[in-house]
Amino acid sequence: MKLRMSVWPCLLPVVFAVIAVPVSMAQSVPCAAITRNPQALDALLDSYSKPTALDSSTTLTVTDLERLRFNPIVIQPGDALYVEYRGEPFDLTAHLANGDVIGFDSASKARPDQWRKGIYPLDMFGRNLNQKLVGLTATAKNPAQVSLRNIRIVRAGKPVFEFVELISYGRPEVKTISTRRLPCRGNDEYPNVAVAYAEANRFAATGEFSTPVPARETPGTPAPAPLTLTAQQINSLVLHNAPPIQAGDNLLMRVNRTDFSLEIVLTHQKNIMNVHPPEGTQPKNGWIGGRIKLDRPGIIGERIVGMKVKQIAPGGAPLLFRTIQLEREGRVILALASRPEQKPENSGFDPPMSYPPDPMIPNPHVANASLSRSDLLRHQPDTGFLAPKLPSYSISPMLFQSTTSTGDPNHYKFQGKELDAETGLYNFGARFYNPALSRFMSPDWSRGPAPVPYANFANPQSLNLYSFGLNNPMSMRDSDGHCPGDDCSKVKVTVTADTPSLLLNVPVKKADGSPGYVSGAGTVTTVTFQSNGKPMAGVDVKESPTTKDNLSNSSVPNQANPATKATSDAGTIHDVVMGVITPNTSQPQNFSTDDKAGMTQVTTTEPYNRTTDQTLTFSVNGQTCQCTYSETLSNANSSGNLNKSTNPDGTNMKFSHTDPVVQRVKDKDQK
Amino acid sequence: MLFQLPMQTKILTMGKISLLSIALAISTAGQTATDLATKYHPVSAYELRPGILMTARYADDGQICEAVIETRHYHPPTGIDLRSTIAESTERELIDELAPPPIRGKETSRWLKHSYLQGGILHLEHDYENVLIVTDGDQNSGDEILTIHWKKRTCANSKPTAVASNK
Repeated sequence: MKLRMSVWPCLLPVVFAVIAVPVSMAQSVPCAAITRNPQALDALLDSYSKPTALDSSTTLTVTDLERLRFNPIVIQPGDALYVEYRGEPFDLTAHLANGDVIGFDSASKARPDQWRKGIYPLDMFGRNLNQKLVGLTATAKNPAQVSLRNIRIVRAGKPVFEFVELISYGRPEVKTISTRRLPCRGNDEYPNVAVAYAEANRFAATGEFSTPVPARETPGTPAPAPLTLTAQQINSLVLHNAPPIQAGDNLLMRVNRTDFSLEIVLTHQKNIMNVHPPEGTQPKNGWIGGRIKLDRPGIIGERIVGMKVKQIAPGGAPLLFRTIQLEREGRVILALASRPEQKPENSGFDPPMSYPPDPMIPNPHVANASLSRSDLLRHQPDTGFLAPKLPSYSISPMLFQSTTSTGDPNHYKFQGKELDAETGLYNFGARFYNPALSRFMSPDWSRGPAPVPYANFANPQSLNLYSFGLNNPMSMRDSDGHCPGDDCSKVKVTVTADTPSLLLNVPVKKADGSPGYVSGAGTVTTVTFQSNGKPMAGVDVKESPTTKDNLSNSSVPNQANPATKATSDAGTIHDVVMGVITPNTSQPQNFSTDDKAGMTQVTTTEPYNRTTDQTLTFSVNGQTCQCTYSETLSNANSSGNLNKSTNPDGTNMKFSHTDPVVQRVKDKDQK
Repeated sequence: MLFQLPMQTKILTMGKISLLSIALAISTAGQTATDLATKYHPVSAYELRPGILMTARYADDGQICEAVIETRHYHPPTGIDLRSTIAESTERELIDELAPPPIRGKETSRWLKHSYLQGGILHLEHDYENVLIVTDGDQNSGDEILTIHWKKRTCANSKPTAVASNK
C-alpha cells in the first residue's frame, strides 16, 4: 500500500503530459504535417466550412450568383475559388475583366442532402495571373435546386473574400473574412489551399520534398548570347510569367561585382532579402556566377516578380547582371532573354472605391500604403465600407476593362465603344463612361428640356442619370450614351415610296408554293431603319399588317399573317402595295402597249381605297421595339368617287402614309 | 391474400366507383351531333380530296352559295401539316367540279377587279357571270384559301341549311 502511494507522484507527470499534449498539439504541429496530408487537409477545410449563424443568409442560388456585385479582384498566383455547394450538379464559370472566362469542371458530386466543397484554381497555371475576376455564373439543369454558400477567394491559405447576397438595392454586401491562421506552426509555409493540395498529393505519392539536387550542365542547344542588365534595369524588371517556386529551385545569375545586395521580390509581399556573394569571392574574367537557393520555408508556390539590387560601394565599374535563370532539378527552366520594360508608375488599376479593396492592389489614396499584407487585411472592412451610399457595381466583365490591363491594340471594347487610353473612359457619344466607377461621368441629357431626361416612372432606375443601362448592364445596352436601356427610342423609321404606277410582273408565290407573277398599279414602299443615324442592317422585322377596305368599311383577311424580313445593308425592307389587275401566272408576262393601257384604264374605273395598319416588330440590343404606321393606296375617296388627277403614266393611284412611331414593347419585368 | 381488402374498405370503394360512374355518365351526356348542334354553330364540311376540305354554306333553296376550300392540317395518324398549299392543277379541277364552266359562265373581264397585294396578302378576285372565285394567299409563302361565291344565290342567314355530313 505504501508502495502504491509512492508510485502516484511518479506517474503524475505522465498523466499531465497525456492531458496537456493534445491541448498544445494544435499549435505545436507543423503545418506541413497537415498540408502534406490530404486527409488532414480535408479535416482542416471542414473546419473552415463549419456552419455559422450567417449561413442561412449567405446561401445563394444560381440566380443569386449572377447578381453578385463586387469590385474586380486581381488574381494572384495560386488563388483559388472556394465554394460549398449542395443540390444538383452544376457548372461554374468565373468571368475575367478581359472577357475571358474560366470554366470549371462540373461539380458532379453535388448531392441534395449534404454540403460539399470545391476548390477551383483561378490563376490557371499563371495564364490568368493579374487578370481581374469580375463575376461568377453557374449553369445547372435545375438552377433552383442548386445552393451555394461560403463562396470565397482563398489566398495564401486563407479566405480573403467572401461573397454574399446583394441584400438591398444599390448596396453590395461583400463580407470580408478576418484572417484566420492555420492551427499549426509555420502556417505560411504553404501559400494557399490549392497549392497545399497539390503538394500534399505529390508528397503522398513520392515522399519526396525539398531534396537538394546537385546542379549539372544544361544539355541541349548552346545558350544564346547573355543579356546584360544594369542595376537600374534589374530594379525595373517585372517578371510576369515566372512559375511557382518548387522544391530545389535555384536562381542563377552572373555579376561583375561582389559588393551589392540583392532582394528577390516575390508574390504576396514575400521577399528573399540580402543576398550577398560570399566574402572574398573575386570575379574571374570579369564575371562571377552565383546560385541562390529559392527553396526556403514559406515561399514554396510563390513566384518571382522582380528584383532589387543595390550597389554598396560607389564608383568603379557599373554593377551588371547577366545569365539570369531559374534552375529546377539542375535544369534551366526559365531564362531572362528580353529587355524588361520600365515599370509603370501606376499599376493602371486604381479602384476608387472598393468593396472591399483588394489588398494586392496598391491604393495611392491610402496614406499608410506600406502596411503589411496582414495589416491591410485587418483594415479591409473599414476601408471597404467607407462609402456606403455608393451604387452597386456590375459584374459585366467588360465594364471593368481598364486601359493597361492588356496590350490589346483594339481600343473598341465594352459595347463596342472606344476606350480612351489617356483618360480610361469609354466614349459613348453623348457622354463618357468610367469603367472603374461603372458610371457615366456626366448626367444624361436630352435635346428637349426635361426635368429628368428619359425618365420612366415605371422603372425608378431610369431616374438615375449616371447609371448605365438602367443599372442592368447585363441585359441592357447603350448605343450612344443617352437614355439608358431604351434603345428603341433611338431608332428612326422612315417610309418612302415612289409615285404609284403600273407594276409589272411582281413576284409572288402560287398556291402550291411555286413562283408566280402578278401585275397592277401601286408602289413599292421602302421602310428604312436607322439607329443613331446608322442603318440597322440584318435586323429581322416581323410584319403584322391589318388591311381595311375603306369603301366597304370592312377589314380584309390579312391579319394574323406575320411575315419576317431581314433588313438590307442599308437597313431597309420593301413592301409592295398595289391593286392587282392580272391573274397569278407562272411566268412573267410580256405586256403590250394595249395591255398596259387596259390596265391603266382599270385604275380609272374601278374604285380602290385600302388602308393597311402596319406593325413592324424588331429587336434592338435585345429590346423589342414596335413601329406602327398606316399606309393607304387609293384612286377614290371613301365614297367611291374616283380621282381625277392622274400620275405620269396615266394611273390615278395615290399613296399616303402616316409617320412611323417607334415604341419599346415593355418587357415582362417592366410591366 | 396479402392484398385482400377489409369488408368495410370494399364497401367504401364500391361506393366511390359508383359515384365516379355516375359522374362520368353525367359528364358524357350531350355528346351527340344533335346535342352539339344545339350548343355550337354547325358547319357543313366535305373532303374534296385527301387533305382538302370544303366548308359550304347554302341558300334557302338548299343550293350551295359559298364554298371555302382549304387544306386540312390534321392528318391522323400520319401527322400534322400546317401548310395551306393546294396544287394548281387540283385547284383548277376543284373549281371545274364545283362550278363547271356552264354554271359559272364567262369571265366578266380580262382584268381582275378589286384585287390587291397589300400587307403581304395577295387577294385575287376572278369574276364570272355567275360565280366569284377569290383566292387569298400569302405573298411570301403561297399559303392560300380558295372561296367560291355563287353570285345569284343568297346564303341563308349565314348559317348552313344542312347539318354536317360526318355523322
